[in-house]
Order: sequence, then C-alpha cells, then structure tokens
Amino acid sequence: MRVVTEHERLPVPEARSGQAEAWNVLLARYRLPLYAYVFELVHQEQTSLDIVQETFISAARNIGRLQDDEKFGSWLFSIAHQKCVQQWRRQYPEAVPLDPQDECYADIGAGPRELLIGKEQEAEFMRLLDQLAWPHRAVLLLHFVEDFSLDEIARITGTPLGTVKSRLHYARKALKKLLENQYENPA
Amino acid sequence: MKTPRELILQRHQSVEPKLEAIRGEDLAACARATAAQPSRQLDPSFSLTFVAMKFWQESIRPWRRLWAGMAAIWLVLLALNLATRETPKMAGHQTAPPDPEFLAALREQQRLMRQWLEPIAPPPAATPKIPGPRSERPQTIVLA
Repeated sequence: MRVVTEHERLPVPEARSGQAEAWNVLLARYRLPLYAYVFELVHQEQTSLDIVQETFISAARNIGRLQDDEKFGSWLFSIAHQKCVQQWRRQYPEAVPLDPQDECYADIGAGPRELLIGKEQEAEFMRLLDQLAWPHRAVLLLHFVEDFSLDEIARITGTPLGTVKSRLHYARKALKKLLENQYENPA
Repeated sequence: MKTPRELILQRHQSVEPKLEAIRGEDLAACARATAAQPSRQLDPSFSLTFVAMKFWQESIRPWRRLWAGMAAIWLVLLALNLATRETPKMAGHQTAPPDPEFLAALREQQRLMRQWLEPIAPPPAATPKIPGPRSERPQTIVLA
C-alpha cells in the first residue's frame, strides 16, 4: 500500500471517483492519527474504533460535497469531532456544555514540532493531557497530532477563533509549567 | 526526545491491526454508490410520471398477483365491516311495544302535573283599553 509523505498531494479526486487504492492511501495516512484523537477524547477502545469507522464511511458518502481537496484532513477530523461530541453527550447528558466562552485571547507560542518531550516526561505528558478539560484537550490534540492551523481547529471544533486561541494558550501554558517543573525537580 | 505527535501516535500503535479492518474497497464502493445518487436526482426525466412508472414497474408489476390478492382480502374485510355495522342499527329500530300500565301511569303523572301548575300560572292580565286617535274614532251623531 502506498503511503503519502507530508507534502505529497492526497488522492482526494481519485477517492471521490471511487478508486479503492486512493481510499487505501487516505486510510493509511489518517486512520491512526484519527484514532489517537478520538481515543484521547473518548477513552474507550471499541467506541473509538467504531467512531473512526463511521467517520470514514461518512467521508466516503459525502466526499462529493467537499469543496477544497486540500482541506480533506480537517474535514475528516471535523466529522470525527462531531461524532465524539455526540458520544460525549450520550455518555454525560448532565454535564456542562462543551463550549464555555470564559477565556481570554492570548498568543499561542511555539509550534508543535518545536516542543520536545524527554523519555522521563512522556508519562507525565500523557497524564497531563488526560487531566485537561474536554475542550482544551480537543484543541491541543488537533494542534499536536495534525498541526492544524487555528482557523482549521476553529472549523473542526465549531468554536470561534478567539476561543480556540485561548484554549490552546491555556493548554500549552499548563504543559509548559509541567515541563519546567520536570527540569527544575528531576526525579 | 519526541514530539507530542510522535508520542501520542506511539501510544496507539498497537491498535493498528484493528484499524486495518476498515477497507479501502468498501469505502470506494460507498463513494461510488453515493456519487451515482445525485446524478439520478438531477436527471431531467425525473418527473411525477417517471416516478409513477417506476413505482408501477418495480413495486406493483412483479407482484401483481400478490397485490390483487391483498385487494380482494381488503374488499372482503370492508364488506364484513359494513355488514356488522348494520346489525346494531336494525336492532335499534326494533323497539318493544309500550306497556299499557306504564302508559297509564305516565298519563296520570301528566294530568297531575297540569293540575299543580294551573293555579301557579298567573291569570292573563287584563289589557287596558287604549282609545285610538280621535280622528279614527267612529263619530256617531245622534239626531234628535
């Protein structure tokens, strides 16, 4: 199976015309990041697998409506995100809404590729990720896993750009604090 | 040292074989099937007659005996329903002849009621005789 590199064109038009090989390429490129994103939000393996499968089926059914082929990745993640929200609401019907507009605007700082995590910090990083509130976790995962732009994250999560900025800022700040503590007080 | 992306993806690497159950062939077939649908909807021959013809050809004609049988059953049911609905009507019309004792008692009751009510009813008020206009009164001239 052919695997596309980061800067290679995705075979979206071929997938639209129903070519199996094109879908295999898209699957190989996106299924694991999509699963990672969904699992980190849902925390249930079988549910995550179901959501990933449903997302790809939904994408196959609606790919004719995708206007910009370059946006396939963010479009796919937005389908998965909606399914995660639905699942979350089914799981916690009494919980607070997912879109609190309570944060301030701020600079988000360095990109996800510039942040490096040492082996001894890995477990702590994942623990911190789990501790973050659902909306902050979603934003941070989209930023880390696929390096989506702020506009794309806003589109995927269906939240205003300012909210995305502030959530990302909050999540990164918490992460930075953790990493600084790790450097200052190595175990 | 790893980037967060590498770390997160590494955490879920073990599930990759399960994800391979999603097959590109199935998705391609799904995409082809839905791609065919809009073109059919935009077909200029798509009209009410076309739908009716399609319905006749695909839903009625292949099972015409079945449809005929069902229609016959419905007719029988309708007939039975009508027949059973008439029975209570007929029964309602056949009233029992009135009991003479009951009728006599009823007449007696009515007579008593009339008697009791008669004195209570106010007597008809005597309407005062209002003389008509002078011009209309008959003028009788008595000649001596």
